[in-house]
Amino acid sequence: MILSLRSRFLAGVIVSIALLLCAFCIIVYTATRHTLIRHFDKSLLDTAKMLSAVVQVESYDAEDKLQQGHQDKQAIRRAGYKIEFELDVSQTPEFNNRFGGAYYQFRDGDGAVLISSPSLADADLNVFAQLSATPRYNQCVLPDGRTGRATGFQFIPRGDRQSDEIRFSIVVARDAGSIYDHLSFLKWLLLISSAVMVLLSVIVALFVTRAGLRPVCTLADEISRVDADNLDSSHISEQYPRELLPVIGCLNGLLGRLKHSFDREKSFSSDVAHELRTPVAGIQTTIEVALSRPREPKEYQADLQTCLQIVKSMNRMIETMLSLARLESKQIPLKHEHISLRDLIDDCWVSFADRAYDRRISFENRVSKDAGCCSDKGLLSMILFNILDNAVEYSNQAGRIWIESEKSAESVILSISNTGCKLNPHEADDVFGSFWRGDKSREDTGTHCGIGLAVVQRLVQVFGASIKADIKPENIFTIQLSLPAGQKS
Amino acid sequence: MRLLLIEDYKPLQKSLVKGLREANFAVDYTGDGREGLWYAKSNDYDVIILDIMLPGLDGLSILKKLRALGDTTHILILTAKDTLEDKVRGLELGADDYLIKPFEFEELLARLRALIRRDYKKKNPQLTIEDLTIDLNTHQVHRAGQLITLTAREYALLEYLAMREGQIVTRTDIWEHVYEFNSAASSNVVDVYIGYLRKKVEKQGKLALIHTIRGRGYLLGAKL
Repeated sequence: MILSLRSRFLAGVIVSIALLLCAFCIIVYTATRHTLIRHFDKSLLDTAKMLSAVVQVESYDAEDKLQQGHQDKQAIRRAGYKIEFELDVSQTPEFNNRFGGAYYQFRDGDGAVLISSPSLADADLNVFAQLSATPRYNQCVLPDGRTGRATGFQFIPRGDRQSDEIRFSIVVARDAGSIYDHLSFLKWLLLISSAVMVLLSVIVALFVTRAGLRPVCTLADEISRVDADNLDSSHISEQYPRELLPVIGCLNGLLGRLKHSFDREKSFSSDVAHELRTPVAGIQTTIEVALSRPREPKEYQADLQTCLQIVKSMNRMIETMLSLARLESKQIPLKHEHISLRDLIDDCWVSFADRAYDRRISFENRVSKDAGCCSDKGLLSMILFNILDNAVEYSNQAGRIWIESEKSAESVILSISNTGCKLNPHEADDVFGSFWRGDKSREDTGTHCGIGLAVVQRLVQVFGASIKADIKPENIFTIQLSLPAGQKS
Repeated sequence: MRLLLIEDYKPLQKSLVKGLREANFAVDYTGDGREGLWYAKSNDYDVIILDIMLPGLDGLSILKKLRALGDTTHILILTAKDTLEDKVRGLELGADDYLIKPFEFEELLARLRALIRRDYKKKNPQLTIEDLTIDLNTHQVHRAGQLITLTAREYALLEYLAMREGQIVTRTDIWEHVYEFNSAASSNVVDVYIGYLRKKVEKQGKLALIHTIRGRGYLLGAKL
């Protein structure tokens, strides 16, 4: 199913806005989170460094006594050295309260806890599996259950036993709940505001789409008003947005072509109907006059002969019209067969031989024996019949008709010529107009149908050949019919 | 009455000429426009029946040329062109009537007779001169209630004289309105037919209605 333009536009706008908002929210959230946590971690690291500075490793002998009772200086004795913590508890009150939200823990190289902040009580602060000199940071769950962040690193304590062999590690953790609360708030704020923005964008997009597509709807209304009856006055105005102008240009071109086709059809149908009126009048008058009084049988016979002649002529015309209509509507498929043109012309001429004889018109078929084409024999016969009919009709008394052929690689050109033409050269193309009779050239044979060559032109168009008329010196009228050449099968 | 038929479709032309002649019209005919114009200019026809689509010169051009020359002959256009536009154009160019093919022959005759009556200012299709009555539709002639049988030529002659009742009608007039262009008649044929008419119309001592005006022509009427 093809979505409507409006749906596509709407969906496109909404999805685009949603994606943009999503990206915006992610960027804002990430940047904020990164900034807050970096500041927090930096503060945590400063604290950790400050704490690490209070550890001192000193050599001691057996006589040395650990300072007892000094609150700011704790010592741990190890083989060959002692560890002293010179921590002023009053300076770091946040670490003193049990579960006060800030914790530290020192461990020796073996991972054994050396000292923990009072706030830690008996809990452990085992946040990092392994530490190095480079500080590490992590989110952690504090002993009091709150979310916090921790940092930790290894360091070489100062003192006279300072060496790479003695490394301690420190982990400092602090409550980061406020940061995560802020971040959570920011996240929901962004989500809700984005959802609201998307909803608003749907409403706005609906209005914008409707307004944007209004010219298209107007154009559709204008086009829907065009029908066969008002094609004459149908021209789509160009008062539309620039983007629609190429479409309007194409539509106007299409309407022009449609009008031309309709006009041609109307004119042709009208001409055909009109052309039938005269022979019908001939039959009617002949019968009415014949019946107006009693007559001898011979008179009736003559009148009936006249009527029969008219009916035959009308029948030919109707058959031609029907064939043309069927061919043009493709009810009859075109055959493609090899046709010997010389033989076909001879066959067609049989119908005109008597008429030509009566008017002492000579006929010569000069088409070469091997001239052939690939086409529909019935259609080509019809074309040649009409051309020959026209030639006999317009040829002068005791005139000549001859047909020649000219072959090329792709086509065969048949030239059907007759003498007695009184047309001017500029009138040559007019002979294909329906109803156009070469007034000045007409010999009164009384059987002429004024649409013969118009029909021929349409028949020729059916199978894609071409036809043209030419008037040569010495009053010679020539019809050139270009046919696709055919190979003998 | 004499008609000119300009129609190029031979079967129709032939039937029309036959029918019109049987209706006691003298008919000249041609299928060529230029020849038709020449006929029309050369003779005084009562009505010209004119087709539009003609070889040589189309009917409307003939009409225009005749009217431009001041010719007042009644012209009936007989054509297959049936649109209102065609009719209006033909009538506005000076045609007196317009009949579309195919047509009823009786209608054509009726229209022709109407045009002729209009030409001679006779509204009534029954002409009465004293006790002589001529029915222009049935072509029956009665004198004092008695039917007079006339030949086609005699009737045509009497009809023309009756149309011009009280007027001196010259032999030339009679020749131009009763005889066809190609009639091979001698100069005294009119006098001969007048003689025939007198015998039939004025027999049994009835009042003379056809008077000879010496050196000028004839007059139909009760009194000179």
